[in-house]
Amino acid sequence: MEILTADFFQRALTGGLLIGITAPLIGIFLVLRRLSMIGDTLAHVTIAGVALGFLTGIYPIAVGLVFAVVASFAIEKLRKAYKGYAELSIAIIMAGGVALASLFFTLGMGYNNDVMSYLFGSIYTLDTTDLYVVGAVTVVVVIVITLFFKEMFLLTFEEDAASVSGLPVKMLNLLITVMTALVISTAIKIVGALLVSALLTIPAACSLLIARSFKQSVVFSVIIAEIAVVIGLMAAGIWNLAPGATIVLLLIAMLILTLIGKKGFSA
Amino acid sequence: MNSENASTSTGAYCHDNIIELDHVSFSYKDQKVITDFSFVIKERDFVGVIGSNGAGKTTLMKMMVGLLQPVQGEIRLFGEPIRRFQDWERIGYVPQKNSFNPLFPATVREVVLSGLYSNKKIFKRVGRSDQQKCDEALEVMRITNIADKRIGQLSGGQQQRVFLARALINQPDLLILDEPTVGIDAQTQADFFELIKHMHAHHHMTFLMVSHDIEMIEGYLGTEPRDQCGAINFYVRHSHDQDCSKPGLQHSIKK
Repeated sequence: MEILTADFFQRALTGGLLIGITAPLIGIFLVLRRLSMIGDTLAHVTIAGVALGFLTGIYPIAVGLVFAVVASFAIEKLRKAYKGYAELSIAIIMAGGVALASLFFTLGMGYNNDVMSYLFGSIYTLDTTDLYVVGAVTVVVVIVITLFFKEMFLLTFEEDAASVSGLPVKMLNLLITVMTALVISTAIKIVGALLVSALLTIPAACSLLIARSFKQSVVFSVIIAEIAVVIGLMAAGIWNLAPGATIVLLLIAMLILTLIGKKGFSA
Repeated sequence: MNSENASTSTGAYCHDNIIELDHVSFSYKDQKVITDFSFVIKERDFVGVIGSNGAGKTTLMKMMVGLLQPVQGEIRLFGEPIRRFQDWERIGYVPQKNSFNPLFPATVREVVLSGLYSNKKIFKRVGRSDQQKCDEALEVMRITNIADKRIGQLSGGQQQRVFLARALINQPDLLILDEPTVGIDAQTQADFFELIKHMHAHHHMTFLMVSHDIEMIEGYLGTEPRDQCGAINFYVRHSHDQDCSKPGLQHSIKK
């Protein structure tokens, strides 16, 4: 139990709590726009960046972040080229990310252990710099979502209506994509690249079942994510498990409970 | 064209140009959809747009609200070239029924309020007067009792009323309806059309409606289209036989 008071665990918990705010906040917009898979894609691209960071000795999250932002721009571009096949652009960029990542892995055999922690997440790896980066991203995401909440609602609900209302649709779309890249590249150190998209999508999936309004569904998804992060990190700390796994399994358990509970109520 | 602009701005109030298409062409890749088409919609016109699928109705509508840019020619809204047009709150827009995700967790109230979120409302809070406007729009459309329901739980006819309430919340000068009655039963369609006709007769509003329902359109707008663009027909009826000096949404819709 003394692990829970250790410095590294406190850092992981703080970082986890921050990501527990940002990931579902962005995730609900992605899910409602049928872009659930974008999280996975950006995570894989970020891993390529992280691997390159190790290879070149540059701060890995920074390289990962640049990769993710570039990829998110590329997805937007491709999305326009293949209108109506949004998932195609996501699949292409995902393949590119995995290919680049595996290329960089094979170039730098020596530090694959470090890279592994980015794939599955780890409570040991978060240092103070990471915490500042996560904190900065959280501040940015919360401010942007608060400022543009009603515009993003309309954009997500009905993009054409947002256009006809004269909203800067392109700019808002870009904001969402860039923020997604920011959130994912900072979240992968805790949750791991393979599981980060679960933290974006499953809280939204739960809250969609129970929320009575859009505002409620945003609040619920943040609460659900926070519960999973706190309990998941503790379980990972106490039993020495990968935190990505515990958090995501908890989320899925909560989703199943919600589904059962809903059925019970409606029956 | 400039001289015409100048004359309309000083001319009779009821005859301002609301939408002007000025030698507009549009092509999708190599295929010409619309060629050199000009058309003017004047204040208090009711314009019905009828055409088979693929005739370019949607393209035309999208150009008129700035979702697509014409390859050639110019479009003006309220006398202003569309790329410089800023007064989007003057336009109410009722989309096609299936243009939104039915599982979306929004309440009726949230959807109706979103009619206020225009370019001029960015960075501004939704205040008490906005809530009042919303209450009024809900009441006028007789959907106050379902204000807190999720939009996906409603029937097609109710959803249509919600989107009409959203379009009306700004008391727009121009109401654009894109196949508003597709997928709704006949009685509800007829009710909806009655409502629209009533608004046209008693309110200072211009209507542009795309429809499949040629009977309804001809019943109200006459059997002779005023203009044609390829296979698209434009039926027009003008209305200003009513004193509209009293402001407010209530007066215009309730008898």
